Amino acid sequence: MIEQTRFLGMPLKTQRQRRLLVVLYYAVLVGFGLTGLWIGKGAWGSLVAQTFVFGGLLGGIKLGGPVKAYAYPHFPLDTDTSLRSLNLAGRKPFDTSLPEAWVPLDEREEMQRDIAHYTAYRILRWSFGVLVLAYFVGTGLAPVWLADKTLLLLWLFLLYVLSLPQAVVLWTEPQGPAEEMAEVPATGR
Amino acid sequence: MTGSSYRVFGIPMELQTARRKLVVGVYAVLFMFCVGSIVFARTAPIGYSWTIYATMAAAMLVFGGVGGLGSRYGLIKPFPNKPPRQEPVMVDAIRLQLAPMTAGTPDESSWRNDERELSRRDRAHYRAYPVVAGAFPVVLLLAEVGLKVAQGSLQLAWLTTTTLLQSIFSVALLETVLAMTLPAAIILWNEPDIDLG
Repeated sequence: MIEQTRFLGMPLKTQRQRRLLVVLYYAVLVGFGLTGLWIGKGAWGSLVAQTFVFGGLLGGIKLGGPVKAYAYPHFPLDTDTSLRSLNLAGRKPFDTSLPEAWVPLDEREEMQRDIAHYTAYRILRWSFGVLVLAYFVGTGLAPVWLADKTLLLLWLFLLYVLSLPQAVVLWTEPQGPAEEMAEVPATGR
Repeated sequence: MTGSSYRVFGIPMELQTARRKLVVGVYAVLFMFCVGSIVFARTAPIGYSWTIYATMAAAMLVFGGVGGLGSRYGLIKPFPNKPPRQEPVMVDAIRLQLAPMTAGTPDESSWRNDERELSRRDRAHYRAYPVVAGAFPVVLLLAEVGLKVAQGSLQLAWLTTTTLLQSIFSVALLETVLAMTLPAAIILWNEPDIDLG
């Protein structure tokens, strides 16, 4: 399920490193949020446009992340249609020989993906409840501030929702014996 | 995937067609609740809570799959795969030693999911997740457009801030209903006919 052993310069060979990536990802997300709240909405740009770049950073819902993409990415010109043959859009066809090409998940990976989504769903339900509660409390305490920042807070929650199953995969992927061996020199045991 | 009972309100649910009719029926009722909440949002703003109560009732008493209080009812065994709380054993029965030690313990087959059932549970959540998560980009898009309309940077004759706020409320309400029921509905929809022999 974990496709890369290195991501953005970070090694992902051991469970500890993968968990560190998850922590760092959410720390950066919180950092984005705080910066966004501080700067004001003029600097946000189009949040919808930025969503899938940050939300899909850990993989899963798009190619190129540490977690293998769950499904084959469908592009409009991906099928062998006359439109593609004529190449009217002038784009390069999706090349399956690229390193980012998608390989179907095997049975074990499908199981991991499903379990991760079950766990993420449970976490999401609680998070959603907390969000609604916080919103109700917030409308009583600081309604003007909340109305002003709702969009950014909603965007942060969307990124959280998009990244949650991948974070669960990275967090729960067990430590294999080879990984333990790899960790020995680092920990000095 | 079915719990201790194969019936809902006395109607047998062994057949897939019966379960599919049930799913359609429940969602039709919940959809009516949603429409009612949206239509009467101004005159009866608390009406949406009735939709939430109806959804909770459907999730606990009809579909099942809910842990905690809802673990005794519904067609699907509780997803958390944990035993329901023990029922209090009759004191007289204990005094007379008529009940064995397991008297208050629920039958394991009524709550424990086997490997296949767990796999179905996880797959249903995998399918439901994008649907539930998909509501958030819609809400964000509506909120972004709403902000632009409110600021005056986007002017459309047919689009007002009130319309957008109502749309956000509608999407959020539908999303809440789906989040509470969709995985169980997917299981009930896909599970083949049950042969009780």
